Amino acid sequence: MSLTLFCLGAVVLVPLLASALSVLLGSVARRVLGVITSAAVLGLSTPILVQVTSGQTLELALGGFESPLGITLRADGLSALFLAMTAVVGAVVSCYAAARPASTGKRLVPGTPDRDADKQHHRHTEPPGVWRAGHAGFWPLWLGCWSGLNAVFLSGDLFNTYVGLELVGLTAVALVALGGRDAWPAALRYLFIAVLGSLLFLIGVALIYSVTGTLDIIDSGEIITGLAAEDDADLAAVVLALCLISLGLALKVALVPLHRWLIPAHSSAPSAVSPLLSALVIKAALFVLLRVWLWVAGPLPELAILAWVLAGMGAAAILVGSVMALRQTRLKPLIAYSTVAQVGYWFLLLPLLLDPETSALEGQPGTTLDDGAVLAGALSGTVALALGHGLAKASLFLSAGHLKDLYGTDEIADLRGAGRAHPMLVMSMGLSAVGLIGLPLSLGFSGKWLLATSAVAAGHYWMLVVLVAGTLFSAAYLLKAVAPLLVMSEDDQTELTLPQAQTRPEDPTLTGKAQLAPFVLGLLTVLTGFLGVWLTGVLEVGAPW
Amino acid sequence: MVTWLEQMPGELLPAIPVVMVLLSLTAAVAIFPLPENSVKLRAGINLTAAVAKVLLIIALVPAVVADGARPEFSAPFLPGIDLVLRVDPLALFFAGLSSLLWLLTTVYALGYLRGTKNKSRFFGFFSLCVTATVGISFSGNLVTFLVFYELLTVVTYPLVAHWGTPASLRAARIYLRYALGGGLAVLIGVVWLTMYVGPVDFADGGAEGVTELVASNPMPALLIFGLLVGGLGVKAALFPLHGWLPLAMVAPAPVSALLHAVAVVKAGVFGIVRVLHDVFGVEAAAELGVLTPLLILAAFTILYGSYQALRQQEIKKRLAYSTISQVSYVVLGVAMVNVLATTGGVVHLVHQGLMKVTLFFCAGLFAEVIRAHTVSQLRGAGRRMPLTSAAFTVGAFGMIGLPPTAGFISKWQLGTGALASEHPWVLWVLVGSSLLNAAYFLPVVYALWFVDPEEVEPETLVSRGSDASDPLRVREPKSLLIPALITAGLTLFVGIAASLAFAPLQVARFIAEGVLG
Amino acid sequence: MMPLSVALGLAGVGAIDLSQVQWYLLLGTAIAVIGMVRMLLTRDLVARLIALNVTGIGSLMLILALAARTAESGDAAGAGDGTDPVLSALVITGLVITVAFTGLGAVLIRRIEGVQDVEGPEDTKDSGDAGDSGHFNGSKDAEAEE
Repeated sequence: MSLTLFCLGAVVLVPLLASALSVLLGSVARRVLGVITSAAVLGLSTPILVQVTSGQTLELALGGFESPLGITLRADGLSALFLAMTAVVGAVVSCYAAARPASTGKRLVPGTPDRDADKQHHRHTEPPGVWRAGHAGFWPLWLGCWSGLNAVFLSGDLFNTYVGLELVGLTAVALVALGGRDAWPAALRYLFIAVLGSLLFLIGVALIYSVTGTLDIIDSGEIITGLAAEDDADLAAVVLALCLISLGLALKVALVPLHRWLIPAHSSAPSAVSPLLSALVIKAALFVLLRVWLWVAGPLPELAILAWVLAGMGAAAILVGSVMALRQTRLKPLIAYSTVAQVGYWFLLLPLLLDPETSALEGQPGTTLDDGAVLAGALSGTVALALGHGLAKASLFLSAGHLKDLYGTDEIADLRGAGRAHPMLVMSMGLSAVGLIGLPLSLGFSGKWLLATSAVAAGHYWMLVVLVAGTLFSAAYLLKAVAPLLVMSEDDQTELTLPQAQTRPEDPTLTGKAQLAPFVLGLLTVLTGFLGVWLTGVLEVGAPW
Repeated sequence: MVTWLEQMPGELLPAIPVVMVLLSLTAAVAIFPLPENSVKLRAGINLTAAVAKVLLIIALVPAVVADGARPEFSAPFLPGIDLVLRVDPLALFFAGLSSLLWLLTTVYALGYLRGTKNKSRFFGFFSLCVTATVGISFSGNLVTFLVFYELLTVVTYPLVAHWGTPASLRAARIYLRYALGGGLAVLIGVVWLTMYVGPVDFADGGAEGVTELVASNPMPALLIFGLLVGGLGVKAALFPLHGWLPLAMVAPAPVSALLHAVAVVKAGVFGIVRVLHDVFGVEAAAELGVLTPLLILAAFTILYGSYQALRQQEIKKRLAYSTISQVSYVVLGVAMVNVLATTGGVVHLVHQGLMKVTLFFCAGLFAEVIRAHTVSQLRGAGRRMPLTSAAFTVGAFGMIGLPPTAGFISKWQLGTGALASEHPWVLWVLVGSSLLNAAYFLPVVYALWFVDPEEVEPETLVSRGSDASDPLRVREPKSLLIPALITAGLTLFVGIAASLAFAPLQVARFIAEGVLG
Repeated sequence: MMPLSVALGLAGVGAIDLSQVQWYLLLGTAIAVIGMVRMLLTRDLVARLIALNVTGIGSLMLILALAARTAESGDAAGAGDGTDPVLSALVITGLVITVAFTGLGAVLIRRIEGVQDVEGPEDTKDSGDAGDSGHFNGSKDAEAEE
């Protein structure tokens, strides 16, 4: 038990310390440290997951300070699942980045412009220096980001949640900026959004504190439930807080129509960074959103309008993101728009939260549902979709980034036939496409199934329409991304010639084991399809109902 | 083998369906990373898995059909819903067909793809395709069925797109569009039905709770039935959902054979049989009033497919439309609801598979060896490739329904069933369809045997392996020829020996009697 | 008459008492909103960064006002000494973080504009990648405004 509690603290502090330590090291040592740290975090997360799965929530007051000013770490089912997904994706991407340092960004080094390297970016003269692939700044930033993510997932109070979110945001902006000067404007734009979102969140937190007098997530939830039970309860401040928090977090998860920043940020980030941003960083905001809506606010009827607005934005996101994805001609923006579309799914459950009655099927023969089932099903479905998205999108972005580094472009038309030389990458993309479309077996399918059954049980049939449309759209745009890679010949006779690889063909990291990383994640996307029951069980631990 | 199984401890029996699914899955996993040039190892893995599977099926037959054993395996999948693999006679019937034809098609494909690229990918997905088919046949509830049904969709896409030409990619895209749309309809139907009655376990006479649902809520039940059959009808190529099938002809010949005879089309039809027999039950379906519309749709598809086949000059296209027509016999037989007709429909699952796979093997041979793609290019091929042409002729006669082929048995059963049912007019559909079948197959047979190859223009006489003694005679590659001859022989055998114990006809009758009491 | 005047007096005291906090609340909101509007409308990167800081200051002022209100209403820990320590901690953290973000933003802006300065003269002659890059920033800003 005490060992598990140690893990709880260490899983936040170890990456933070490693991040600080790595600043002092050389670039090779940073890589080694990065891999060791990711193995350590993976190892530290396991006992937490095991303990939580056995039905126990964990709590640790860090440094012995009690609330309100102390740091309380708490792990329940939701935390453990997100923690585990982050550990897996983080570890795999870390290994990829260590195996392919060139994927971590671009840096400007002084020297005479090398004709070859210069062509890679811009033909004209620049500030003196040359762009070289690889940026050792990746490691401190990413490890810091990881620490922030774990802090968000394990935080027991809203204050530390805020600090964790800020750490994630700050490092994520800097990680985008590693992509060289094409990425700087995108990073800056991301910075504005991140700060704005955080400020809105902070005001919301302050409002909740002013109503409840505590920042602890569970305590404030209880107080708000108590207030709501009173007859003349004035919950205007809580509703306002929820509005601000939801708006702030919607900015950070890039919910339509607040999604514009995500496309340049995710698509211009370096190959090893895009998967982290898409799979993990936006999940932090989603996690906080679920926490606040389910644990802090509870099913207040006053929130109905907000819930419907957000769900409507979610449905619009699925539509807009998919249509925009279909219109892209480049791989990485297409995948980024696919993220925008997938974000929509995670907001659909909000109206269900306020109306968790199995009204539609009551009195039907053979119906075995009870009221808790809708809430549990909707939350498990959403979490399954989010986790499945994390695995699949990380794999997809890694593959796409790898192809981009190989051929110097991610124009889909120029990559026709790339699958011939790199079957493993195409296979990874196919596996992650299965997960993103939500075909069985995959976590995405389990998620859609759970969400759809809860929606039908609660009589929210509109959700079925949205899910069906989203599935068809995602199949269409992913097919558009993957199918051209399979082309072998332009007509039935001639073989296809691929664009000349821009990186040196003898670069062993591009053809070597690094390709395994997206494949492992793709495989996990499919294999986790068996975890539907287990996931629902884990989420019951520390659930708010 | 049989005695070994009988002595096997009872707790091992449930493992067999899982082992069978894992067998081809393991083969796929082992094949994917193989380097392109390790031909022998790949062939070894493929054939070992395929042979092992056929042996397991043979071992299961007496236990399941005679002793009434129902090996079952289940694992938790979604809250309240398990992944269930269960062997019942119908499952065994379909699994037996797919295992046998997988073995033969693998032999054929090994020869067919010799010297081409991406063989590891091809055989990997090929094995996955069979994994999905076996999974579909052993599925014990609707959700398990759905999982494998969607898996089949995904893994056949790379097979159809195998050549990587724009035409094949286009066909694969259209196939995927159809199949995913159909899968989605099935998914909605399954979700909806599950909300009413919980996990839909297949059971003779209808799943638990469905009869009550039909009685109390006919409208949703009707919609659910429509979604399920409509979704499955896409793969079964029921009119008007058949558009993908003729296009998918661009795939390599073994894939076409697999799609038409075993995997995709059959999975759809098998699903319809399952929904009708084991989800709704024929009584509930009759109560819903869906049987007659289904019968009419099947009858129309039969005639429409035959008519379209008549208009095609390309052999593979003609065969494709012929499949659309022939597969609907199964639906036709099942929708007539009597033992004779249902036997005819169910046995046609296997009979059509054998005949169609023969025809596709032969079409592939013609295309590969003498580059004959259209009917007119086949003129005189009988002298040049007598064995292939003989096998093709057997398959064609089977399709027409001439005795003593397997097709005759199916049509005889269906015909007598039609007379015994409330819909005697179906007999005229069978007669009309047989005439159309004759009209589009007999010209091919005529061209094969009764046109002198000397008359054929010399430029069409390109060939792969000309014989020195007789310049017109060509030697077919053995690995392509032998499977075709075996399936042709089986087509005759199951026709002649239809009354043997465990012959397809007897098993089909057993199944029909089980369903209809 | 007496009860009415007492009520009025109490209300007046209350109004004055509350209005001070309310005034700060309003001021904070106004500053935040003005900053936000400016941030979304301006094209100049430095101006946006400053507007972001203005928004931050407005928000933090809002929270400080809330802290004062919470302390007055007395239902939180640390009531009675004017401001609430928890919310003050929140504000201080927020300040630190805003400063960190501002620093990062300033670095980015310097780099972006450094690139633009070098490319600037060439843009007129050579509309190659440099031109694209320059428009890239512009179009980004335009998008943000929408």
